[in-house]
Amino acid sequence: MISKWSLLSSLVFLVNWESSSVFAQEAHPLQSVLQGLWVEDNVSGTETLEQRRFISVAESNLRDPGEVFRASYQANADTSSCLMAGALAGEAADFEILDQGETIDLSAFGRTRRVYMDFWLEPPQTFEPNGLGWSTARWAGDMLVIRTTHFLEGAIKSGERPLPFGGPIAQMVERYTLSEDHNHLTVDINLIDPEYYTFSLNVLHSYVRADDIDRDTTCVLN
Amino acid sequence: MIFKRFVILLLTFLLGTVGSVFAQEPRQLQAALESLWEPPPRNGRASSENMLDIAADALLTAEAEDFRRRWAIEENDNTATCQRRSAAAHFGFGYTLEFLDTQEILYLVGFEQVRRVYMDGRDPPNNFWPNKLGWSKGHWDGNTLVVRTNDFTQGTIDTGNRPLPFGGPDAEMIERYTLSDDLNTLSLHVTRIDAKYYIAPIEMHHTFIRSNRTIFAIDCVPSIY
Repeated sequence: MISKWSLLSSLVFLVNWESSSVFAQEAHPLQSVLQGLWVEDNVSGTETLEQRRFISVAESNLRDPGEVFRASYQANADTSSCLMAGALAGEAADFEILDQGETIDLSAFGRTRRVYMDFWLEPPQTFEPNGLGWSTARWAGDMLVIRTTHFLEGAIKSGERPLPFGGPIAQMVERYTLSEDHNHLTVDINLIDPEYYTFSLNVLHSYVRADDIDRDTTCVLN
Repeated sequence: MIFKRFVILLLTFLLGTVGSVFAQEPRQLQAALESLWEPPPRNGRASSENMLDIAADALLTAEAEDFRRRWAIEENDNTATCQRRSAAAHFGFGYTLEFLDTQEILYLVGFEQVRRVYMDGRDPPNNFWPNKLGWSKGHWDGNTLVVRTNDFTQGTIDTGNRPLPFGGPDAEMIERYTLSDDLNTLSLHVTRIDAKYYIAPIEMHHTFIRSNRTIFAIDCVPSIY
């Protein structure tokens, strides 16, 4: 009888749940509009208040393993010129979006991250965790929501005050929202990493559409 | 659309008619649940708050995102204003849990709130109004206590600047409690379902250990923003 209950509940769930994976999401008209070059909406070029707030919140929420990471990071210094995907939270770098329908390519810091528009798509068995992670996305209204998991441990901010991020349970959720004129883009980044931080970290960056951006040279992985 | 509505109505009817069958004889395990339970020492493990974020943050619907945009913590902070919390909020946090067993009713104490879990399959009376604790029915599925809670009012399962909304007519929470062989560890799997706000169920797992710690009430003093 219990299994009957479970079965009926599952059916109700499936019928009610229009957004679940059994109902594929249709292509969103704003996806192609997102395509283009985006530069940080920061005329001064200096660290914004939002970035400073983000860094101070991150530092005050560091757990012991995070402090240990910092200490050892100083000793090891940067071993690669390749920044991880979450680095966009620590530094609002210029970036490019290329819409390819079923995927979106996000290029920043000299690296390109592929975002699969099938939100429930699991990485293939051969996938190895890395600095860019595994990204899938969906539309929530007019907002593009990207979830990235399967990170290798790394740093979202380098230098003398590095901020660690990554590992098996770390997750990044990005929310991209276009302005009505489609020329401004806000990117809300939520970093959740219980290994290193007491609470999740959030930062909001603003971008404007550009004709050209300062492209980083392709990074070199050690 | 018509077919979908028909299926929902049919299933709702079927669920209503079979509900009373689930009343079961109290199990010995039910008596063994009676205790204070608390989370084990963290020893570097992730906090429940963080795990709730991981489970829910990427699953918000457009309506939930809009809820977040309109949210003002100073107007809605249940903790600061000493208001009752949603029962579904309890398991986002590492608080204690206490069971008191009267066979037909299991009393669940958490957040200084008492929730009644009816083990005899009874439905809410006519004068029942949805509230933050909802209406809870329990049954045994093998050695697992399954508690289904519905009839929540609108609320949140996490507050702060990035709240997680939950509640309303379609929201449901399913808790599955399983005792270890030595009866000293309680495993809990919680599923929160709310299609209005989440594109998929929020699944979380918690572990509690039996405790003989003495707990006591603490007056809540409202804070002013």
